[in-house]
Amino acid sequence: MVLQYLINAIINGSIISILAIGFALVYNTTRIFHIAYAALYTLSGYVFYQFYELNNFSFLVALLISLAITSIVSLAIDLVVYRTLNKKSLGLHSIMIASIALFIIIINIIVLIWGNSPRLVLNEQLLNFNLFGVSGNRISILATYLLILIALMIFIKKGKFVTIIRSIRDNQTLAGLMGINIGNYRTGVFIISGIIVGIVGSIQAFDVGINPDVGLPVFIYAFIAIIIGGIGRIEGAIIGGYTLGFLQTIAEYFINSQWVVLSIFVILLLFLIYLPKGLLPEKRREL
Amino acid sequence: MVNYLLNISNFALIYIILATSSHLLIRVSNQISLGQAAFFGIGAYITALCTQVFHLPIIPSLLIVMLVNGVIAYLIAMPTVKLVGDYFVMATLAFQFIVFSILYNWTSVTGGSEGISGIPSPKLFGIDSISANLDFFILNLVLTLILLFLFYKLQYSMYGKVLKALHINELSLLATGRDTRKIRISVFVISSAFIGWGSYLYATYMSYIDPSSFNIHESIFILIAVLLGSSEKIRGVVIGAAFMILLPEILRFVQIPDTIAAPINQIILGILLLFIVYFRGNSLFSNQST
Repeated sequence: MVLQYLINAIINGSIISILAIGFALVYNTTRIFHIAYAALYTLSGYVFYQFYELNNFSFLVALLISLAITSIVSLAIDLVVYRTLNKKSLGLHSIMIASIALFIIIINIIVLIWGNSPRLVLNEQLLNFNLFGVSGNRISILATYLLILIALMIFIKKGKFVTIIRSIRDNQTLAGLMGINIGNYRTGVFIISGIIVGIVGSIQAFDVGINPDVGLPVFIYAFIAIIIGGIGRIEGAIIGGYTLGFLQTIAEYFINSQWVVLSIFVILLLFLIYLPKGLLPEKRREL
Repeated sequence: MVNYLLNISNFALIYIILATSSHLLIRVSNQISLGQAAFFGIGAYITALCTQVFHLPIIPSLLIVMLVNGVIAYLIAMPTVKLVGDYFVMATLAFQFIVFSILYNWTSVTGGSEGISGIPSPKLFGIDSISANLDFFILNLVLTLILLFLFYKLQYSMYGKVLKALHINELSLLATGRDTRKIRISVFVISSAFIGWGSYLYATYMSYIDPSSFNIHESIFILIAVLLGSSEKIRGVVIGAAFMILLPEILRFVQIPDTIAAPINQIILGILLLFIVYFRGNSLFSNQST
């Protein structure tokens, strides 16, 4: 029983952390409050559901199709909408409104295609083993998430990509002058964040099912994780994500699960008010 | 037919009240709030309390709803107005989810997901209850016109000029010695208090409220209604809010099947919003606050 709760907590924490990293990539590069990200999450789940459950493709193929579509849509959002608005040098408020509009449009297209009712993935007999009373599926999902997190850590800590993204965030003009092709890096950021959200969205659809409303709460949790952990550092997103994951599970275990949402948002408000830079504020030299 | 038109007009007027009040916060003070439906909801539940439990007539009820909304708005605004941009949006979003969670889960007081039914119609000057659509429409219209008049007057008052300065350039307003923090708090309080009028009318008109009318989607719709008019003037907001209510009826009129009418309606709103950002984005918000 305790083991199950522990695994739930780690899975929840990993989901939030991974999504937070994907969102932070976009947010740190462009400063856009990218709410359409939540719609991408829902979209990936439905695409996966379509190909895995309805068209009977294998798990891996369905996942790959879902990743492809999500990253293409993610890139399209940037190319068609965000960059067009950026070129008109509109403020971030206006672009946020555009993102909300995209969110509404994507979610309602999903409703048009797949309907409003919740869908479950039923043929999920993938792995028929049990470990200490925990099903093989749960364990492999857990392992997948941890692997993704480690991969992201390595990618962000060791790679040159994120250093360049930071330089773009700090001073776009200067980065451009240094010969960095900003457009290409932006493209990369949106594709990677699309892939990240696609993986989690598909696996979650596989694990717990999907409905049109799943995206927004998950997005909000990811953003809360970034605020708790501190914007600008990957450890922040991970610490924030696991804090939320464990908090969620502990609250479910000890107090009534219906008050979980309330307690998380109260914590968010407290952080926003008293510790807006989060637990791990980014160390930056003042110019 | 007449009843149908009156019904739509009643909803449109209520929406105009919600949007006009929110307009002050979102457009004038430049603070995008995704928590407007929370105040709408609090007001509606307080209305139920006033009219159902205490049997208060309309004017005391309205005042109590405004007072409660205003006090809550003050408590929320005190710590959060210093937040800029996304952080303020996030704080209002958190408030929205907190209120929804309380309305939904505190079953013994709010009735939980089943809500509260049997809210009595407004009582006014000895008229026992205003329940017929036409009577209600008249009351609704009078209240809406009073509100529009107040907000119109406010625009051209000294306070309105200060707000305009805040919208255009906060720094120079600070330089003239005004406390912009206090101004922002006052805007938040006024905006939330007048949303209470919409709550009162909605609760007494429907005579039934449940949390699903006050969720995050409602907050987004109120935001859209404010922005659709794409004008700083109040008449833009009135048109935007009325359009929000009329659009589903237009879709029904052109015989789009009921099953897909709701998503089509929202897709149209989303596309309109994109166009507004594209064509009018520069005048939607002042750039300095981002």
